[in-house]
Amino acid sequence: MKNKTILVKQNPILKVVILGNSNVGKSCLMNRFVSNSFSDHTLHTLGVEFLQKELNVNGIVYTLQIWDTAGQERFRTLRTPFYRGTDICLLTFAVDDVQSFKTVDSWKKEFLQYSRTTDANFPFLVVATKVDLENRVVSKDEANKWCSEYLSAPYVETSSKTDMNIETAFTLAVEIWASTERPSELKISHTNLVKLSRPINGSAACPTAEIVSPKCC
Amino acid sequence: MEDEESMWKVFYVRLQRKLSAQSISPDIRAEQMDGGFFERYGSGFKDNFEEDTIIAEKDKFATLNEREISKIDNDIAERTQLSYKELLSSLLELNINELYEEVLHEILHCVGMEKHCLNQENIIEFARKAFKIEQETHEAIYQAVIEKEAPNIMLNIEIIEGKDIKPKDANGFSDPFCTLFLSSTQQHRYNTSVKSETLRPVWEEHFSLPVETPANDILCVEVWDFDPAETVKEKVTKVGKIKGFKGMRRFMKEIAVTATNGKHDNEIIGGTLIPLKTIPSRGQIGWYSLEKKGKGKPQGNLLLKLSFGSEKNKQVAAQEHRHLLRVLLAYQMNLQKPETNSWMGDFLPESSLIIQQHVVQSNISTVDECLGQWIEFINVHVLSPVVNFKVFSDLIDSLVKSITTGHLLNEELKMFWQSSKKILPFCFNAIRMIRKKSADDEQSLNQTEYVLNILRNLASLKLPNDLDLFPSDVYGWLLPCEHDRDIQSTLHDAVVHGAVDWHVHILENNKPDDYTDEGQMKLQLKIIQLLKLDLQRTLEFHNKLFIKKMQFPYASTLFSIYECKISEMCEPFITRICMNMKPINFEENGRFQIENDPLAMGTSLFELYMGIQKFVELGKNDCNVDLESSHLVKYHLWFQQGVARWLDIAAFKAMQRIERAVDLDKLVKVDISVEYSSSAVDTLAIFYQIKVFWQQLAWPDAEGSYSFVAKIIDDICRCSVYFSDKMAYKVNNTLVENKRFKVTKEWCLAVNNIDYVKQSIRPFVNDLGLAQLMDSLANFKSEISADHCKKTLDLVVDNAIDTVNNKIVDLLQTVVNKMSPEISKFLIEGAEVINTNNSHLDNLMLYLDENLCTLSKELNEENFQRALDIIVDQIATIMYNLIQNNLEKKKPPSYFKNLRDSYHILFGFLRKDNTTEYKTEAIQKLETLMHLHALDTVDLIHEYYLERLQKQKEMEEANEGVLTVKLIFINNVLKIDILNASGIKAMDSNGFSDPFIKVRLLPRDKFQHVFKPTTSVQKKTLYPLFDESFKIPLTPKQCAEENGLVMFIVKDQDFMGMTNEFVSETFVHFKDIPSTQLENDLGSVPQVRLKLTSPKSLDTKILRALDTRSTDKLAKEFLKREKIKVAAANSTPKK
Repeated sequence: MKNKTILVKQNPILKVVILGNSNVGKSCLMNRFVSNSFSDHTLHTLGVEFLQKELNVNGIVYTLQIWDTAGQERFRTLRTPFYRGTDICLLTFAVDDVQSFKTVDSWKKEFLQYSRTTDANFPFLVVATKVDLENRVVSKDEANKWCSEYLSAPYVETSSKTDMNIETAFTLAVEIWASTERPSELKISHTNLVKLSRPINGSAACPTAEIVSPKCC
Repeated sequence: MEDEESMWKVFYVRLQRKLSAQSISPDIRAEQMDGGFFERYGSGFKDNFEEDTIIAEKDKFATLNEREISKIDNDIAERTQLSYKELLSSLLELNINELYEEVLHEILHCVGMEKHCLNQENIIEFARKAFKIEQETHEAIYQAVIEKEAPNIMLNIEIIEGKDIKPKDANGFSDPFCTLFLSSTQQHRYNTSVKSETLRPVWEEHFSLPVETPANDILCVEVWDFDPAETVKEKVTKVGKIKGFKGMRRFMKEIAVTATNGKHDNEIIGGTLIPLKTIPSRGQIGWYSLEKKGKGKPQGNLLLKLSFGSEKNKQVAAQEHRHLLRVLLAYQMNLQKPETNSWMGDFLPESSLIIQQHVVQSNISTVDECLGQWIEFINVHVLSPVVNFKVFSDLIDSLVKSITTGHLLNEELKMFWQSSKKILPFCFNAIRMIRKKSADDEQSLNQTEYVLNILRNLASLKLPNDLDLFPSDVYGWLLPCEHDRDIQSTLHDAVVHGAVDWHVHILENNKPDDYTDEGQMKLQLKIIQLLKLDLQRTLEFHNKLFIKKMQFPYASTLFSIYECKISEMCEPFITRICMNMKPINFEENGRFQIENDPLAMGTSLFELYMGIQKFVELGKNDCNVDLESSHLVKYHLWFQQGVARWLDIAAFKAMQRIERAVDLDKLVKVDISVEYSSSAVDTLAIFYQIKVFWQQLAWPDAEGSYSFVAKIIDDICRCSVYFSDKMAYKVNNTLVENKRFKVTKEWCLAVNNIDYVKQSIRPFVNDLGLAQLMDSLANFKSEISADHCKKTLDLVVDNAIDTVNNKIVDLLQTVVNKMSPEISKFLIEGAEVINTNNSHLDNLMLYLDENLCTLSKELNEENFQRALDIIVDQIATIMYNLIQNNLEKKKPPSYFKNLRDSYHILFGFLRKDNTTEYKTEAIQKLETLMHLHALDTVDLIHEYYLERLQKQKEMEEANEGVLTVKLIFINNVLKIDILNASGIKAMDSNGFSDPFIKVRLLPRDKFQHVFKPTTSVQKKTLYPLFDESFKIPLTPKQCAEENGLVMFIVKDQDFMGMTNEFVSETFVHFKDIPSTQLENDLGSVPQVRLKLTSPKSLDTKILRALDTRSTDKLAKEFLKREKIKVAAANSTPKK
């Protein structure tokens, strides 16, 4: 076992935050993705919850650190501190809840306010949940149109209950992240620093390369 | 827990030591860059606002209040419409001359011992002045008094009890009784009852003897032993017959007569003589010893109460007495002008004498005397509040007893309440103004107790219906009340009013002079602290009194008022402040920046939080307040946003400081006992301060705590990672280029620093109070929620530790990478020289040993092992690359064997303590490669066949057909039945083949001279039936060949019969072939369906390895054959 310690996975780590109104199924989304489980009776999240999962996207194994947040208003000041340092933000709404769809925009605003990101191309992904339900009131076309026109964010429809598009959604999110240029502001301080809590891609995987030079990727 | 505790302790000691060491050269302290940001919030926080400032503040209020209060009391006096003038005029109503005459008369006929110590003339002069009698009038009155008869004075005696009475009877007891008389009238004798068989008789009997010459007479009291012989019996029988009180009287008289006559055998025990002039007029209680003639020793002791009295009309006398008091008080107060509440009820000696004589000679009862004092003292107090509350308190104690036992007439009761009504406002004002004196002043504390005692006594009585005790003109401050006013409710209002007033005072004396938010916060904190101080004072001094005397929850009443005020003052303000706190902004160049926002920088906000928290705790713990109904129950929520912002700012400040700390770090151990340098200590100091900050916050709500703790842990983890990165960067820069790399202590320190910070993460997290937090979450929400939260936090922590571990590995990897050039140089040189006497290998070992020594010495076991593993891995990688490079140079297998030997020596050296079999990818690759190239060609070829067999077994579908055979070993003979083949590849243009099978045993060199069977050719078919049987005799050694293989080759006979083309082949391992000794078992040999395969490519490791052996004939020929097979396999059927 001793030797195993040396082989800690050194995947690129991405911090993902899931936002959205109370009851849209953020925790279900995360649980389906991480542990492939689903329960009709999920408790309200207290403040924040954290899980991580590895995901292979186009041959690179990423470690996704997923922060699930509490949607209730009273948790606002408790969840917002976690926005900072986020790489990807999932904005969720439930297709049977018009209100949750209408507030997607304000979630995005809250995120931008508290994460203080200066990244104009920050990767957002709008995730519709509960598409298995029959009483859906937000149509796919409507949502899709609105997301591309107003949020300029990609849109994906999921169901945690039927495990529809769950992994697809996260994969898509990582692809969006990978395809956007990282502006330099995201690096905390001098240029000689890596981004916080993110080991350099594959540093141990290719040991012949000149490794761990703190020059940033 | 204990370990962690001691760990922090040790850490803190080190930190202190380091700080003190640094104070010598103060320019290198990391915390200076941010002005000790964390220290201010952490350990420095509590010292910040101790209450010295408030003490001075309090004194200021005290003096201020002094003026205030006398003003208020004077106001009451005005409102009660009484003045000194009025008091005097009220005196005119009664005939003052008559009273004066009475007083003079009493002075002249002074009773008791005072007569001898007083200067009669002085007293008379005193009285004249007090009564303001003109000399002339006095003469007239005095003359009249002299002519007046002496008053009829009575001596009142109570014989209470005796003790130490001499025993006179055989049984060791006496049967004592007393006889008393005045020496002037010995014929008038009085006797007490007989107390049988006792030396401690208790009589409690009263006697009243008329006194004619009080100046000369002597009271005689004698104690006798009742005749023991006959009368005891007599008494016993007689007692039985006595009926009623009268009977007893008669009985006593009889005894008395006998005693007086002395005719019986009664024996005197002893007696005492008391001259009347020794008795004070006020009366006295005292023990008198019994003397007997001829006996020097006392014969016992007698407790007597002696006083003078007279017979006079009770009401008249009482009224007269009150008037007398009023006259004398007015005179005395005018004379003495005592301080507020300082008069203890003591009259001037002259007044005292006059009053006593009046009491005695006018026979004033104790109740009347008390009531008189109650009324007249109150009158004086109303005029000028000079009377100490103790006086009233003592008076009412005795008055209430009399009132409840019905000793007061209605008229007297009315007078009592009228006076009480006048004193009540003073009592309540004393409560309202309780803060006017410092609470630890014993006197004022006593005053409060007396006031409460007065209130308690009054509250215990039934209040009169016909008297408005609480007139609104006096009690302007009373709160609206739906119920009838009583003492208790008024007390409540007084307390409330006092508290509200105090709050106003505090506000007035703490007007803001600084209108910034910072100034406001400081001011609010001060106000809260002053209110808290008042509450503490109350708890320390007054609360117990109020509860004991009045069952009044003083402290909790105060708390309710103050918390309401605090809530009104703070909530909107704090909420606004927190919402407006400026977050961190990124600047263009990527650096973050905090605007120098005083709110973000200063500690005022959290001091204010602590102030409120302490106040709330005081209420919760000491005042028994139910916080649920309190305005302050959710005070922490006002600050929630602020705390969130602060944590955000703190995280970035921490990183700033870490950066600075690493810059300043000289990579020298802090002291010899530890393995890390200053920046690790600095980093932990930040953690420590954040921890202390959080502990002091003591966030009361579990939900919020959880999120904040999660945030703190996440931040700490980010800090740890940040530290690792900075550390790695720093140590990387210590490299000197173009020089043989040597592991230095600095490198090791860097690793240790990171490790040290990593190790602190878990204890740090525990110190944040995770266990308690989970408990309260379980209580507050549910076990499941608590479990969820715990998992999240655990995950965050694990993740952090993993990440930091990765950083350590990264850094070690960097170190090893630096060593790589040197290692590969030695290895390259070493591999060229093909002999065992390899000095290059020795050099390499020396180089490694040198560095490993440093690593082993400086690193802990875990990290050393990691380093070792990385080195091994690195060497494997270097050797792998070396081999790859040398393959092109077509080195013979012996070259690779040499390398392999070096590898084994090296790894034996590096892994000597390591028993695990685990091999990294790099090592596996290397070993495979060395294996391939070090093998002899023959072995390598067989290796190839074995690989083919392996692939054949792994095939899922038989795309190239199946060969069905039976195989068995029978006593060193391999019997092979080739039954048929199906679905073989068509080789000819007609879509068929002309297949036949060749059988070969492998490895070829082991089966060189054995029979090599071939079947006949089956024409134009893809499903040939052979049904041929072969027997191949073998040697036992051949049978036992470990990796022996049977190879079946399907060939297509060329139509010319010249070159037979390869179609496909299949392999069977010897170990898969059954064996038997019996010939007749053959029937049961199972058919085996063998999947046919063909080589598809030459690009396999083994074939490539063989390809490098260009000078090797065997290899060349083999490759040539395989090349043909590949070509055939990939070919399409011929046209």
